[in-house]
Amino acid sequence: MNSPSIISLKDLEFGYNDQKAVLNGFSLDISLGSTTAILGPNGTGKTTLLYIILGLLSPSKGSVHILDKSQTSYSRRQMSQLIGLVPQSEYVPFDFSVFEYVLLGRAPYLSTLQLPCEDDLYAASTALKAAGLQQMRNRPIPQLSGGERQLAMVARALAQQPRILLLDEPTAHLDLGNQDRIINILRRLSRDDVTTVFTTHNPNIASIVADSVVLLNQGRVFSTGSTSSMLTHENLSKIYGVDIEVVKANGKHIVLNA
Amino acid sequence: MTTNSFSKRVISKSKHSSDTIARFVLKSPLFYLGLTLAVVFALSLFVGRYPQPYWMSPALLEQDELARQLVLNLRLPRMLLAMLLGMSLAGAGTVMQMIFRNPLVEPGFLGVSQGAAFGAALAFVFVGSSPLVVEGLAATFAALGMVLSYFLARRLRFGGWVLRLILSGIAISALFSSGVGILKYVADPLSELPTLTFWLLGGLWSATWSDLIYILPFVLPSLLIMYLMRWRLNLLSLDDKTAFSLGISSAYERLLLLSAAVLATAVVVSVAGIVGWIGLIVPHIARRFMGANGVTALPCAILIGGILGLICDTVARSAIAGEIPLGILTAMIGAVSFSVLMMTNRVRSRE
Repeated sequence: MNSPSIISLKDLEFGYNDQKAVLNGFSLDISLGSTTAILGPNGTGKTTLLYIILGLLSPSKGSVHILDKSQTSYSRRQMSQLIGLVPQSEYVPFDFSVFEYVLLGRAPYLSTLQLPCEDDLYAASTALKAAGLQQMRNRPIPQLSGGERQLAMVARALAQQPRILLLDEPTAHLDLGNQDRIINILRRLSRDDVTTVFTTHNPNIASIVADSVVLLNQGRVFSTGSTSSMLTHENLSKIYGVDIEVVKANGKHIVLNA
Repeated sequence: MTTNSFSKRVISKSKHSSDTIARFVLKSPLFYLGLTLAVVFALSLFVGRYPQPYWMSPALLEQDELARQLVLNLRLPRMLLAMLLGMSLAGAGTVMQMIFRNPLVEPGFLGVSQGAAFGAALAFVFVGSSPLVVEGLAATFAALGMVLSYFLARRLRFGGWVLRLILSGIAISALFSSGVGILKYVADPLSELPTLTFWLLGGLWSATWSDLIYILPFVLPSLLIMYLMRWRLNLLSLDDKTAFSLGISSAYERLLLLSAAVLATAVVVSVAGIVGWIGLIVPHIARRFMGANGVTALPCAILIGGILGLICDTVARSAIAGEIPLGILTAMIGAVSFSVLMMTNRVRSRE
């Protein structure tokens, strides 16, 4: 945990429209190249936290530092070259092909009037391959299954070549095969020193890929630390409010709803 | 990976001989659409009702001074206007459907068409029917319609940006169309009402070179902005949060494209009256043939719009001894082609 932190959040406060604060006095440091899972029940501000890191939402109090510089000192374009987002879902009204869709991830490197060039096409092809979608290259996005769409969004974020990748519930609604593909992508990113932060309400996914886990409860960090120290019977039972059992298999913690 | 991408770039660069470029151009549907437009344009020059219905021999241009005058001063400006009208409406329609993420939007919906109609009606009933007055008032109220819709949308406390603009566009259009109704009611049924009704059906019978000079400074920059931002359109059709994460200042870029589209629409509508359906149908046709990607769909829509505008206007001025209002033809052709399009399987020219 002594590696330099790439994302540093201090004393964040955030609430939607004067309602009860979603985040309240939230602080967190994420180290370079780590994989962090944000775990917590629905409605505890997991997505809000991702959007604050992205800069889409600004906290009413507190500071966000990316690579030791204040988030506000970056331009929109610099930020988009630094941080990528895989949203939970996305409405695509037109029949873009998978490749055209993935190619949109190159936008941070193109000026307003520029068209993608050879290098961008190559980066998009590579990203497509990394997500295992090369056979679907020409399929229209609206015809894909939910899991394939999720992979297409991941591929688009990979084409963006960010230093930090934020993923909002990347494995929700995915079958085991596609979950496995996402997990492998996360592992490969961590090998390539890309810092990833993902939200999930499934402790098992966190257990499999995350180096550290942030447990969120009622807008506060309930606890944060290495994955094995976080995923315990006491912690999980407390934040989810039901009795949860944790067993160990193959060196990983498996969480069961007792 | 870097070495890979480099070597790939080198290989592909060396492949770009003039031969492959020529083959690429010949394979591009846009090339054939452009060719079609040129052929339709050339043929239309000789279609009309002089000296006899339907066809004038090109040789007549050399012998007959009247024929030359007619082609140069009446047909040519009118055909250029018809082409630009179709191009603007189709381009603006594609842009609006993409930035509003809604394939049912047409370019006049933001109070523009009904605003123009109201301005023209006001001119016919209270001011006078000289083209300058009618076009001036129509353009003014078209712009007013857009501005009102925009500011109303900012005030609405409901839904997201797209939904609010659509709703306020509907409200402002309804307001202006009720105004048109009142003006029709008070118009002199023998003189003003027929001219007004005819204008509202759309047409280019009064087109002159000066009309063309008036619309060019608005239409050309607008079309250019749309064309230059054709890849960007794809990004703007995504969710706001995705566009944001990709570094797009979507509010600013949307406003720029929206202004270009509305301006082009307002100007051509002020000259030609309400010519419906081109702006709604042509983008659909273009997407059917070329896929959704703005890079190809937008130029394709602009070319098809130009072709359709030319054909419809040529029919409007030459099919019968009188003038058929253009709006009737575009609606008829639009509705039929729309139905046929939706019944057939998707055609795509992709690799």
